[in-house]
Amino acid sequence: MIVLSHVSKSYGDICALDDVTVSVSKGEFVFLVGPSGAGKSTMLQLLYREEVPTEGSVVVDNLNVTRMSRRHVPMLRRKVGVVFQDFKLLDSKTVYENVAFVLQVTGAPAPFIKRRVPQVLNLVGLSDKEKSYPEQLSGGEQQRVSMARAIANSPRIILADEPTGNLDRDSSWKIMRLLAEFNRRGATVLVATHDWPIVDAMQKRVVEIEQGKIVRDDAQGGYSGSVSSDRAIGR
Amino acid sequence: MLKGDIAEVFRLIGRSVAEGLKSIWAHGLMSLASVGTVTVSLLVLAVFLLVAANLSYVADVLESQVEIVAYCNPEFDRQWEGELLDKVESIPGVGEVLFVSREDALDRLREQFGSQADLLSAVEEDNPLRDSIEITVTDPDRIEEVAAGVSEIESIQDVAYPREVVQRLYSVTEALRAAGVALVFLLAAATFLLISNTIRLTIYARRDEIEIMRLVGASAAFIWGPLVVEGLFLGLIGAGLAGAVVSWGYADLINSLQLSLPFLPLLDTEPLMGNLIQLLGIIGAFLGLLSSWFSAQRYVRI
Repeated sequence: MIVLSHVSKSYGDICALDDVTVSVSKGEFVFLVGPSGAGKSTMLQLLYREEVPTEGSVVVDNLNVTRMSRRHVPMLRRKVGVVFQDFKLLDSKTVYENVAFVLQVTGAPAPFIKRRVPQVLNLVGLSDKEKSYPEQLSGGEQQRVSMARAIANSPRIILADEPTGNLDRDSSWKIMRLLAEFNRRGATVLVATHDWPIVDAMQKRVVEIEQGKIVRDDAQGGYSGSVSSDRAIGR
Repeated sequence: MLKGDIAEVFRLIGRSVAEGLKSIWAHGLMSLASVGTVTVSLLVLAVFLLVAANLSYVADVLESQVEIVAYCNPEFDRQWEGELLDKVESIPGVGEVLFVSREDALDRLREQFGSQADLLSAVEEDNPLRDSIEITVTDPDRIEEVAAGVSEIESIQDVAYPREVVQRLYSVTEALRAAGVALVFLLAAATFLLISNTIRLTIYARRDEIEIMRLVGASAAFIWGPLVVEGLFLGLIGAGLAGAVVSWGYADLINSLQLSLPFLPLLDTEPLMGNLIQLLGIIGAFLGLLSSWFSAQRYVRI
């Protein structure tokens, strides 16, 4: 589903990713961990072509992202749902409108939108907040709206960049459970996170990046390699 | 499939127009400033064009009134008058031809002197004037050629025509045209900057929305559509205002000028105004499209 081979990305003198090769199969759930500035965000950005690699190739769902012309970028992005730490909701629109917006701008027919929005809001447990504005919601609720928005187009891949970075424990768990639920329904999910208790508890595939290099790739592991052997202790 | 595509295009256009207009409204002051510059720029342009058009009209009128006067030999025998006129008329480029006898010429002079006509009493006994032919030309550009042809006729002693007046008028009209073109480019540049800046403001105000559109895979046309429509309408509104002001002002000016300077040749409001308003509309729309397209290309990454 996702193949990065020998990918490097540098911004001037700063090297964000250094010869990274990794692949993710269809239906996998992968945690991307590592210290801030290690290159996790850059890696996700390469997948929805917010960034283009300096070297190497990126293939997402059989599309060669590296050689893709600008005209085809929208097609790629419709296959990829992205969730951000800061939610990126439109404050002037209601919950319903925020979700409907992505369907409208990608040209979905109105009857479909009417059916689809309540569906995804129900999935994230916010059916009763349709008419609320983002600022009337808690952080966790806002992130769930942004997740409803990310899956509205039924993307095959979901990328989450620190989705729980601004949330309390309880809300964080809700978000992660939702991501796992999307994964169970068939989406390939990549989550960049610092949230070690959750990573430790979920025991999914963990790819650890440090200074732009992959230093660990456990098929089933915890947040930090050294602790993953006796993961019960945590860190 | 095709039907769906067409529906899609209409939806895209509809949404672009709705969003573009909403944005103009939302940016009250900035939109007003843009429309204002478009209006002022196009107004200056219009005034310039009107002055140029009228000057060139005046030049045309004067040019067409410019005539060659061919003076006959003092010994010219008037029984050959018809023959002489035939010769002159056979020269290519000659329009109308009028024979003015020396007596007629003296009468005209007397008329021009009016109350001081008695000054002419000294010359009345022995009229020093000569018979002459007044020749208009079909094309003012050929006046020299015609004059040369006329001067070759045997009974013609010399030929006079106001060469300098014509040439001066030409150079004034030319200079005016050149200045007009330069000014138009300058004003167009100013308008371009203001509209593209307004669009940039829209892009800034909608940056969150635009970012989400990009991230979820909205097409470039979908993102740029409203911006381009906004620019187009700013240009068109500005042009409309300029057109209204100018057509009202010109009609007024013509009326008062024709009262005080009735002999001044001025162009009528129609079809001049119709053409001018069309031109302003086209320029306004073009500038609006161009500058918003530029901003969209430049400030919205896909």
